[in-house]
This record gives sequence, structure tokens and C-alpha cells, in this order.
Amino acid sequence: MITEKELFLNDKLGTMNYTKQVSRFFVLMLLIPLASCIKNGDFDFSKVKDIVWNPKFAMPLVTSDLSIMDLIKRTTDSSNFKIDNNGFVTLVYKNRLFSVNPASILTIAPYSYSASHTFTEEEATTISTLGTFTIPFEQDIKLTPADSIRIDSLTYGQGDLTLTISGTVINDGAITISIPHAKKNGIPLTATFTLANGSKTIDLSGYNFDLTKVAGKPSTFKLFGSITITNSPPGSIAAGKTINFNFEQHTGSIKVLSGYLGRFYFINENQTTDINLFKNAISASKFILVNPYFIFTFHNSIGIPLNLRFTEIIGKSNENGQMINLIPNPGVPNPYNVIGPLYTDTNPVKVSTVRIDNVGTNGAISNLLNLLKPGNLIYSFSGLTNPNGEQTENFLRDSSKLNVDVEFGLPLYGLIENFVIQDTLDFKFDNINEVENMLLRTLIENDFPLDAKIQVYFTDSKWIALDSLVTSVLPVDQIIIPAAQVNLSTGELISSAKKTSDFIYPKTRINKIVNAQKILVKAVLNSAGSAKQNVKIYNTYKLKVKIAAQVELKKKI
Amino acid sequence: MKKYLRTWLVGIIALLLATHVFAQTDFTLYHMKMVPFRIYQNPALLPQSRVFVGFPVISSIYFHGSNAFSYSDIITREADDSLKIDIDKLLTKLGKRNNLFTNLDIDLLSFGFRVADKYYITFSARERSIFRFMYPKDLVNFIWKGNAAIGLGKELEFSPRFDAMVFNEFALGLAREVNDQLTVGIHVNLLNGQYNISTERAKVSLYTDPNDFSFRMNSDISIRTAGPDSLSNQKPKAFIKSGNFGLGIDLGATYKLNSKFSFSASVLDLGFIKWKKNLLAFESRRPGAIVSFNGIDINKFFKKDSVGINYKAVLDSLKDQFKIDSLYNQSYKTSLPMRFYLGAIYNINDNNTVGFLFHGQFYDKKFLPSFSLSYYTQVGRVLGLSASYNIMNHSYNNIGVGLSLNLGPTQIYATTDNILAISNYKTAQNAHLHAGIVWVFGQKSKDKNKEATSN
Repeated sequence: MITEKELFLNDKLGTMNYTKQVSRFFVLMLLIPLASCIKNGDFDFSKVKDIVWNPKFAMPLVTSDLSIMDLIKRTTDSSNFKIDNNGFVTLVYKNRLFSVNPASILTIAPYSYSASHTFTEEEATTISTLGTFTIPFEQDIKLTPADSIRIDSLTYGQGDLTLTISGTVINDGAITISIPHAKKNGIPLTATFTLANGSKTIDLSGYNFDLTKVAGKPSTFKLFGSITITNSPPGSIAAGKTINFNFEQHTGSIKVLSGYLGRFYFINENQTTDINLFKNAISASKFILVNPYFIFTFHNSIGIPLNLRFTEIIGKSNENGQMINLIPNPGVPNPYNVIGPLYTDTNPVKVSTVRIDNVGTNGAISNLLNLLKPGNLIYSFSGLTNPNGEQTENFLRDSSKLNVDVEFGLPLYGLIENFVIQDTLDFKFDNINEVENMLLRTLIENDFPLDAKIQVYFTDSKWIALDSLVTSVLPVDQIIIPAAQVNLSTGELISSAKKTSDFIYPKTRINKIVNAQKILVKAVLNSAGSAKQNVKIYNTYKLKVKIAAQVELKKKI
Repeated sequence: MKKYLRTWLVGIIALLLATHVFAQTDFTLYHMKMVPFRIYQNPALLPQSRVFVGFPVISSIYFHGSNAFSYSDIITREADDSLKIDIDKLLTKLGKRNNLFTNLDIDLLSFGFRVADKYYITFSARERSIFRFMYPKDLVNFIWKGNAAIGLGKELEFSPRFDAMVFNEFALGLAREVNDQLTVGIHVNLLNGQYNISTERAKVSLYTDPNDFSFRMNSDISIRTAGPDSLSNQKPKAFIKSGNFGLGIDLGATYKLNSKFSFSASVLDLGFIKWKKNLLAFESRRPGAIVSFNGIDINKFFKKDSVGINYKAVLDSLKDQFKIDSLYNQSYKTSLPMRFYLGAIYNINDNNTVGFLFHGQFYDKKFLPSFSLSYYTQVGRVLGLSASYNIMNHSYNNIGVGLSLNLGPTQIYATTDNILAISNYKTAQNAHLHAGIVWVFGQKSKDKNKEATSN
């Protein structure tokens, strides 16, 4: 019989056996992971191989909506644009050819007058007995060397009259100068100085000299003067003593001058200007605009009849040195009398223009422009004053000047054929060795009735081509920018031209441009259509350019 | 440099590979009755000892980590014994959104004692570190393969989430046996925040047009940080009084249905920390704005005064679209990562139980469940052994084991929820360890012990 105690013990022992087994199991479970040690090298970082990172990234690079103004400004910064109400664009080059200020170059030679007085015994006695003695004098001063030029009136901007006294007289006294026809604010010029050896200066600034008052002597004014000597110190004067005086007139600048200034050439120069439109142009079969023009503008405030002669308006090709001169053609008003102001005009600047257009010159300007590509313009003028002699009173102010400006207008209506432009950039392709493949994509949407073949050359420092972007020889592939379809008479855009071009650079091509140092971009432009009709360019046309790239890198990290 | 990069990369991988569990679970320990630190998982789980004392660091070290991939998912050994990092293979293993969680809790001081047979009072001071990082597959894919390989014409989601906090927890706990069946417990936690990084918003996406490669991007980032600028700036008093205070509570209950079945439930980390000191936030300058990037102006790209093509201008322009502003001294509040347990026990006999445990937590707007089935046996008052099978984050190969050994008043315990992580470390995605030495004194009477067993 099993007692309760035995049952309890059995139960306890049974439980212990069971517990023991389970305990052993758990101890074993705990020991297993400890025994299974981490394999040698699984965390040995030095055994990790280089990781090859080989991603392929795509990203946009460029997006631009370019108007004709944007496109042209990329090649030049000096041109302006005129847009008419319809949005039609005229490209305008403005230059100042000449600026002449006669008053600044007109000179009046200095004039001097010297005299001397030696006292006699009688004069010395008079001074001793009467206590005073006066010596009067007068002098005509002529400001022009010849009568072919005449000055009737002169107001000094700057000028002076210098009186110098020397001699053996030590008596007190005074010297008085007066020019009755030299006035400032209506008051005649007079000046009195204490008699003493040395120099005295009279400022002539602002004085107006009336040079018509000396009968029979044009351009002349009369100077009056007197020297008064007193018997002080008493008895100091004696016969044989001498007093010397000298007047010297000097003209600094002229404020206003009138009279007759004669006939002389005030311009005889030439000026050369570039046409920046052709800055990057290297050649063209045709660059013909329907109505290019020149407008010469004269801003004249010189009170002298001026006669201007266009000596040359030459277009000179940089390509072959060939020149076209517009002057022999009709439509050039040669000579041209420049309109000038009257003395009484409140606005002394008179504006006049000369327009020389393509129609008037029988297409000569168009031919000249077609020759220029690229090239420059040379302008030569000669200008003569008083071409018909003395007919009107001449006048000059210190502000009187003649400005000659030219506007060379290129209304963008015409045609171009194989117009080649070229630009260069320094180039350095960093980390290109890590580029495995490259895709360059251009997405063009063009409103302009022009197409463009574009080629990009990668070159070394000596401009030797290493690779070119466009490899296809098919013209359709070379035209990266196709021409839009427009209504040729109204210019209205019918449909934009779109084109996506992919340029694939596998490793073999990339290796070619590793050492490239320069990029040469060349574009050949043509008007739309095989018939090469004239096309108009409006400011609403846009060239939408997108450039994107996809690059596959391969880099060990 | 390469070696450094490799070392860095492998180091990160080694850290990540260990894990795949989602939250701060402690499955194997939960039903190990001898170990007093079950109270960290359920305040109503009363210790068997009348008194326990834990000393700094050694009494409870808890580590738990989980990641979306394992060592073998990214590293393979080649025939020449070299190691190959295989990101392509890794990408096949990643889900759309992938999580990396780690937790490290270290006891600084803890003790507890039974009062009037019905009450148990505990106190603990712990330093807790919680690190949670969600990384989308698209982000890894983009970095590794590039948008042209994976994302043309496709919306790529780069929205990461990064939340990390380090704080001290001073917990006062009280448990009461309401009757023979029901026991309830509560921990009131005073929190002292040390460091925090939290992602308030992080929405980043990229769409690449397949035709012109233009980008459509969205960047709405708001990341808040708090804490000393660097460890060297940390002053001792910041440990006690950092200025970033918070409160939290843990609630728990156990219910003994009958002599065979009992149930338990707990809700942990209900609370918040108000971050007020050493604040720095990073916010998108244009939050929520959809930005299109089509490239730069042609005149800037082909700039005459630079050498050739101006790639830098493209990148600068792109960078400008994603300007991040630094903002200082904007206080904010973060919630603790609230979680809960539901448990059930079947008593085979006094010393052997089978337990079931369900753990739940929300993160990144997702409910993250995990399950555990465990067996526990206790040999007298000396030895406790446990084994568990755990399913966590779609990971099914997690076998846990636990041991507690009383050597006089000294109790040594160690548990892991994934013992296979050690032997199968190459395929493991989870790592867990909770171990320590604690001093326990006194035991309840046999009857009471039975009740405790039922818990």
C-alpha cells in the first residue's frame, strides 16, 4: 500500500525528474548558441570587397523659352530692338559717330600793348608846383588776326586783362583803365589801381565786348586809360625818370560769340562700327533682309550754317575684304545742310535726320548687309561751315555742339541660307572617368520659321576635334531645331516644330572626350521651306529649349 | 577612404542585421515569475520575493533591436573568402517601408517590497533609450540605382521617419491584490528628457518625367531636436534636471479565472515629455509646396565666365528648392511610444505553465502586432526556465529562452526572445537580451505563492 507520504514523494520525484529533463533541455538550448560561435571573418571588415556603385541618374539641365531678343542678346549686348504694334521685330544698332563742340576748339590769340613815359624837366616842375600830373592814353585792341573772320560780340566765359607797371618813378599816384563797350550787367568796365611797380589783373569773366564800335575796325574794342602822379614824396620826381606799363589780354573760354566765323572744315573723320549680329558668324550663302536702313540723326546747336558731306558709308567683309560703298547710290542726300538754331531760339538744339533705306538705294543696303557677314561699317564725313559765305550772323555758345548718330536698322524680314555661326567655350569634364554611359537629350519646340543644324565639337587645346556630338550624316538627324510652320504673309504661327534628339555616349565615346578642353558649337541656320521665301520674325515667337541628361556612373566605394 | 567607407557600411549593417522585432517586447521574461523585473512589462505582476534590490547597471540591462533585413540579406561570403555587400539582394528583401528599432534600458537603481501582504511598492530609476527609424525602400533604391533605373514616370517616396529619445525614468509603483483573483498595479513615472530627435513631418517625394527628366518634388520636413549640443557639454546635473520634464504611467492587471487559467493586461508608456531646453528644429522653407524643376536658364548653364558647362549652377538651383531653415527654441511635446500586452496562462501544475502573449504598438500610422507562445518551468525556488516562440514583424523564426537562478539572495537571470539570432545571426532580424543580477529576499507563503503562480 502506498502511503500518502510515498505518493507525495513519488509525485515530488516525478516532478523533479520531469523538471530535471526540462532543465537540461533549457540549459542545452542556452549552451547551443554559445557553442555555435560566430564564424571567423564574418565581421572582418578588411575582407569586404570593393562595392561597385552603378546608379543611373536622370535630371533636367536646361530649360529656356527664348525670344529673338534673347537669342540675339546672347551674341551681343549693344543692340536694341524695336517692336511694332504687330510684334514685328527690328534689330537696331545705334552708334554715335561724331560730337563736335566748336567753342571748345575756337581760340583767340592773346593780345598785348606796351607803352613807356619819360618825365621831362617841365613835367617834373609841374608836379612839384601843382602837386599832380596826369598822363592819358588810349588803345584799339583787335581780336581777330584777319578780316575774313569777324567777331561782333564776345562774352567771356573766362578771360583777364593784366596790367604790369615798372620804371624808376616812386611817386604816389593811380592808374585808371576803362573799356566803355565792355559791359557786365550793363555797367562798363572801369578799374583804378594805386600806382606801384608790379602787376594788376582785371577779371573779364562775364563781360560782353561789343566789337563793332570802333569805326572801320571790325573785331576791335577801344581801351582808355590814364596815369596820375602826385608830388609824394615831395621832390621825388625828376626829369628822366621813366614809367613803363604793359596790358595783356587773355581769353580762357568763350561763353557767347557772334559775327562771321568764315569757312572751315569742322569734321573730316571716319568711324568704324561692328555689327554684333555677326559677331559669331563665320559665313553665309545668303543673309538678305528686305528693307534694312540707316538713319543719321543730327543734334545741332551751333549757330553756323553747316554743310555735311557723306564721304563714305562702306560695308567691309571680314571674310574677303570686299567692300560696298553706298555713296554712289541714289537715295543718299549728299551734301546735306544741317539745320541749325537761330540766336533767338529758346531751345537751341535743332534735330534733323537723314534716312537712307534699301528701296531708295536700289537694294544697295541689302547687298551691303549680305556682304558683311561678318564685317563692319565705315562711316566718313566732311563738314564745312558757311558753305555760301556770309549770309547770316553766326553765333556760338559754349554749349554749342553737333552730335551725329547713326541707327542701322535691320527689320527682321528676309531670308537666310546656310548662315553659319560658331561659338566656343572652355571645357573641363570633371570625374568623367566614373561615367559609364551618358545620354544627352534635347527637346526643342520652335516657333521660328528657321531651322538649325547644330554640331558640337569637343576639342583639345589646339582645337583638334576629339569627338562630335552629332554622328549621323543624315540631314534630318543633323537638324536639331526644325522650322515652324508659319503663314508667310501674315507671319502667324501655324504650328510649332518639335523635336527630341538623343545623343548617346557609351564608354568608348566618353573616353574620347576625357581630355577635351574646349567646346566648339556650330550652327547652320536656314529660313523655312525649300523655296527659301522671305520670313518675318515676331517677338511672340519662342524657341523652347530643354536639355536633359541621363548618366550611368560606375564607382568603386 | 574606401576602407573607412566599407568599415562604416559594414558596421551599420552589423548593427542593423541583428534585428526585426518591432517594439520594446520582453516576451520570454513576461511569464518568468521568479524575476522581479516583470513589473516593467506589467505593474501588476508581483515579484515572488518580499523584497528585491537592484544595483546600478548590473541589475537590469535590456536591449532590443529589430531591422527589416538580416546579415545574409546583404552580405555573402565569396569563394575567395572575401565578403561581398550585395545591395541588389538587399533591395529584394526590403518592403515599401522598413523599420529599424532599438531599445536600451539600463537600471540605475531599483527596489521593491511587499507591504501588509496585499501591497507591493516599487521604485526604479532607469535610463531608457528608444530609437525608431523608418526608411522607405524607394530611398535606398534611389541612392543605389538612381532615378533613371527605377523611377522614370513613377512617384518615388523618400519620406523617412526618425524618432529617438533618451530619458531618465523615475518610477514609483504600487500593486495591490484586490482579491484572490484580481491584482492591479500602477507605475507613476517622472521623466527627465536628455535627448530627442523627432520627425514631426517628413514628406519627400520625387517624380521624374520620363521624357524630359524634369522633376516634380515635394519636400515637407519638420524635425525637432532637443538636448545638449554634444556629449562633452553634458553636465552632471542635467541627469537630474535637464529642464525637459515629462510624466508617464504604466497600468496593469492580472485576473485568475480558475486554478488553470489566468489572464493579464498592461498598458505601458502612457505619457509625454515636454522638451524645452537646447532646442533646434529643421523645417522646410516651403513646406508642402510642389516644386517643379526643369533645369536652369541656358545662359546660366553655358556661362561665358565659367569653364564650360555650369553643372554646379544646376545643382545649386536644385538645392535652393529644398532649403531647410534652422529654428531655435521652439518647445514641443512628444508622446511616449505607448504599447500594451495581453497575456494568458495555462497552469499545467504548480511549476509548469504555458503562456500566450500579445503585444501591440502603433508607429508610423501602423499597428504593429507581435505574438508569443511560451513554456515556463520552475524548480523550487532556485531555478526558472522558459522557452518561447515569437512572431514579430512578419518574422517567424524567433525562439526565445530564459533562465533565472537564485543563489541565496542573489538572483541571476538572462532572457532572449530570439536565441537563434546567435547561432543564425546571418539570417536573424531580431536581437533581444534582458539580463542582470538582482538581490531578492523572502518568499510568500505556499498559498500565496500559488496565487502568484497563477499570475
